[in-house]
Amino acid sequence: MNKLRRVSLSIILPSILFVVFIVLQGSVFFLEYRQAQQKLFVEAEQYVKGVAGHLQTGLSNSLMRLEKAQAQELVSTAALNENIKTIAVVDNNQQIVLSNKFREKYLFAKLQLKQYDGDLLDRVIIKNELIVEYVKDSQELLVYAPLQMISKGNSLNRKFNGVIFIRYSLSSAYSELAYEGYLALIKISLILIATIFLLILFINRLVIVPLKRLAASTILSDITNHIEVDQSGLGEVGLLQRSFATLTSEVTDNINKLSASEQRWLYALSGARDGVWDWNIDKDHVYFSHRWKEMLGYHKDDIATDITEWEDRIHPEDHLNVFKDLQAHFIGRQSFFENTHRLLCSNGDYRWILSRGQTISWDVNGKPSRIIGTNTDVTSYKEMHEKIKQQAQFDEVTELPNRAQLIAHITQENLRAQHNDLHGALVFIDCNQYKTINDLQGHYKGDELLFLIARRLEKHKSETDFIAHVNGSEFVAILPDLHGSHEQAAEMALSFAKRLNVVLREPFEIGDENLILSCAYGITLFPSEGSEANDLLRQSAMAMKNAQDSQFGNISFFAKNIEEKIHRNHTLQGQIRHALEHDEFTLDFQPRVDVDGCLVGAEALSRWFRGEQGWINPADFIPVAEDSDLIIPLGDWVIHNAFTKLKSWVENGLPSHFKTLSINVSPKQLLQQGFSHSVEKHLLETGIDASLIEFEITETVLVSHMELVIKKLNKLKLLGFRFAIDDFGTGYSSFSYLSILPVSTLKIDQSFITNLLQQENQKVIVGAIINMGKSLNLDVVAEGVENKEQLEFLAEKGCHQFQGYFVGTPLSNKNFQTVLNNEKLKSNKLES
Amino acid sequence: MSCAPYQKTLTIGAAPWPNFEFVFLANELGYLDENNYSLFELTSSTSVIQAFQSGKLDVAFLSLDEVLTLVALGIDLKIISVVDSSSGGDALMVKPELKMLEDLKWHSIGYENKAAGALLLDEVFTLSGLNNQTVQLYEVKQNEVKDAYLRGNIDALIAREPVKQELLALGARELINSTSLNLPITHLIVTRGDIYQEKELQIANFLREYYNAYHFYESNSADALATMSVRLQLYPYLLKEAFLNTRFISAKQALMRLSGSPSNIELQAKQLSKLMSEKHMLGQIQTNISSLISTRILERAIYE
Repeated sequence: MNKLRRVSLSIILPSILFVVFIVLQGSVFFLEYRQAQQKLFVEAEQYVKGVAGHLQTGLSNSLMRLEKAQAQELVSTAALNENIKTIAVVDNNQQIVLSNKFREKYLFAKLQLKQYDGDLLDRVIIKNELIVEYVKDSQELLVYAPLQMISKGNSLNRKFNGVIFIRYSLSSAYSELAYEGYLALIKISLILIATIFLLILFINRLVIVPLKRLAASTILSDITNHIEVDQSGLGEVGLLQRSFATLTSEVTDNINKLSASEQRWLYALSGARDGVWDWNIDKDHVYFSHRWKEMLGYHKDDIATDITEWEDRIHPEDHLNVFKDLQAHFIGRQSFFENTHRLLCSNGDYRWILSRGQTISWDVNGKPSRIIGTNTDVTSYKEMHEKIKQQAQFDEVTELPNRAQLIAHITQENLRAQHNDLHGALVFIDCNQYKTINDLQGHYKGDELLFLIARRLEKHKSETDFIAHVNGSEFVAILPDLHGSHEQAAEMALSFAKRLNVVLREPFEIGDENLILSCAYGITLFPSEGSEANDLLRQSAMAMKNAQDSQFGNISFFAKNIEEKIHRNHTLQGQIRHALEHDEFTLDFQPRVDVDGCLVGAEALSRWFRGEQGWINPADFIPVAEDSDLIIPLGDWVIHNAFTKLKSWVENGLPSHFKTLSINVSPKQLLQQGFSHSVEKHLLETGIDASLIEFEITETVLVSHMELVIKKLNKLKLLGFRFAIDDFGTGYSSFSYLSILPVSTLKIDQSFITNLLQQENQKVIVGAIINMGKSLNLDVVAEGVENKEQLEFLAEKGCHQFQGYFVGTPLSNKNFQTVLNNEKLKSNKLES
Repeated sequence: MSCAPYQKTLTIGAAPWPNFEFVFLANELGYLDENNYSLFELTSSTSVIQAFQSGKLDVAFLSLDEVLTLVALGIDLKIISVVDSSSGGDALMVKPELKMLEDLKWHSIGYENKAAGALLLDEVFTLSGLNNQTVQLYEVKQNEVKDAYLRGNIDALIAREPVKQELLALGARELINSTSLNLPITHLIVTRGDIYQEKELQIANFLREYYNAYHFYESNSADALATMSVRLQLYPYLLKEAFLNTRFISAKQALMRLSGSPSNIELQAKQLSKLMSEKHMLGQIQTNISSLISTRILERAIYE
């Protein structure tokens, strides 16, 4: 069909005309031929009849006059027509009398005359009827005409009738007709062909050629130039040409405008070095421009048209953001899609790409179907930005956070410490030699030194510590979350500073020189009420400046009291160690009595007599020993001595109601790994009855290490030891643990007892404790009972054991032995 | 409906005359295709002349004087061959009681005006001193001669072969024949001037078959005579006698007579036309005689 459509009109039109003409002419020719044949037949019939009539008259006359020769001549002359095949006169005996063929004369007609039907003779003669027959096969007309003739006998004038038989052939006439028809047809066809040829010529000239020229002018490749359109065509062709000329002119103008616009965009894009993408969401087809691919180091054909080509190259960390931004645009929250993300390059690196786009078409459901945008390589910008950001927050030489970041960090940690109720420290470090090195050996070496210092600081800081470079050779370390205790925190900060001091004293290799530095450290603790980050930094700097005046040589605290206290503690620790080594500690025993005043037990209390300084208050040295690990040997000494004393008491004889020697065990001591083992060892050494021993533990240790403590206590319980909770009510008094702890005694803290009678709520609390102890089947001991009223109140509430100055002050072993002896006498007396 | 180019049949006509019979013999022998040739069996020269004149014949067999008569009438024709030369083929036949030409005075003579017989009648007048005042003349055509003689109301008849033989057989006396004429009576084949080029091939074929029939006659005389005599309704021996008074001119001889400048026929024609003109038997001949002759067809018949 398409092929047919491309056939030239100069062929189609004449072909149609030709076919139509052939059909019409063929039909007309056929009809005319039929008509002519019919006409020919009628004419022939008339002609033959005419000949027959003529012969009827002529022959009749001749024959009646017996002029037979004349009759024959009539016949011969009448037969002078090539279509007349036979003219014969047949008499009533079927004998041929006359014939145009002489040889047939006097012969039997039925045998000699072709197509002659002898049976008709009688009919013709009798009825005097002219019969005309048509033999279709041979296309011959047969005429039988009656003829009056004279007998051949010539003797009488009697009338004899005969018949004139004429055989007339139409075949040659028909052939001639057909031939003429063909000739006419050929002529007409030739005329037609000539006409068609002329028609083709004119169609070609007037229509086809102008149209072809018009068509040719449309396939010009460069439509940006005005096309010369031939407008010489006639009529409608001319109209078409003029319309086309107008159209092309307008199209060219529009295309030029469009291409100018397109060029602007193209140059803008190419100038911007932006890649273009065009995502047809419906068809899942993405056009990536050459530049888009080039940006990632790919060639034109390396990247297909699938969206996964993009998606799969997005950095995993950026994936979600890209998706979010795209969604935000798609649901209309953002009028533009904009996202900066990393895309994987062909070499495995990532580049930062700023992608911007806008949806330009939506489907029937309002969902975006096509979005177009650009990709800009912002890697260098991003890197620069990062660098600037780094520079803003980091020091270029040391690669450590700078002052700004330090301040921000201090602020943050200060707040956090306030919230967490933990103390942290700020350590300000300065290297004394830096300025000299910098001045003498140049900035380069100075910078190198700073870099190395920074690395050492980093190396020796803990995970959570934060180190920053402030200025020159000044560094600051933030040590967050050191301890809940102010002092402990200070202690830890000091320890950190000392460690640094050791590390920084080690030589620095710069070039071929070994530099040995001496540094100064200033420490301030936070949180500090009303102090901002800058204040804290200033305080630490001030502390550093005063380092030479410090108790610790080159390490100084901003808060002098702390510094002094720590110093004192350190001194005390040395002294404790000395005291342990030189056996300066002794044990006192404070009696525990029942309601009746009977001595039911005692609490072993450590006492330290230090020559010139006299007695040292346990409240001073115990915390120091606790803070350092000295409490462990001290505690161990206490246990050992207490067991030894009990052994000697038992040997001297204990009063029967004396049931308990209680020994304080510090949390550190209890949690110490070899505690149980050590207790067991002392037990074996002394061989005392473990059930007389009651270890007092604090609530604090129970709260922090419940499981471990229970395990240890159960182990010791198996040996026979008992346990009391000391200072009950002051800690995180959770009653729930009382049911699972293997304790047998609660000791009400003396702070409850001191103001017991003055404060009503203390009474309620103490009452509640006593009730609870009773209900749990625990002994309850009230500590710090100082007067009779207190005692009576407690007794009334159900507390049956007491400690305090009112019932007995701590006594030296010697004095307590005496009390024991008296008590034994008293009890013996009662018993007796 | 045939696609073959249609060709009209060639119409040929001749009156009875011994050497003309080969036309009909050819037809009897099947030499002539019915679709190409239509033969008209005419009874007298007059009929032939009239038919030729009216265009019903393409080819006609005639004597030279008859041809000249037609030419004088302005008929466009071409002489294409020479058939024979008569030596006594035409004769004045009289009742037995008439012994001499002079005996014809106050008697009746029948003759065919347009035919060669007219020349013989003229010769009779010349020789006998008779004229149309002293004899009664009747127009009797060739085919009527026998009947006229048999009826007996005409004393003398100018007859030609083969009727002459029939009259002889009936007892008629031959007083004078064409040998007495200074000029021989030559028979010709002519064709219409307007068709001879168009139908040249057809005519040439016809001539060839005509001569073929003559050859058949030469080699199978008895058969040929028997066949021919049936048509003429006479005994073969009579026909054989008739042939003796004619001298057939073969095709090549005919060509020789027609060829040359002036050709034999041209000379004869000029002589005859002069004679006939003198005797007021012929009008003025405007045409150049030589232009009446065409040898081309005969050449094709002979050599192709």
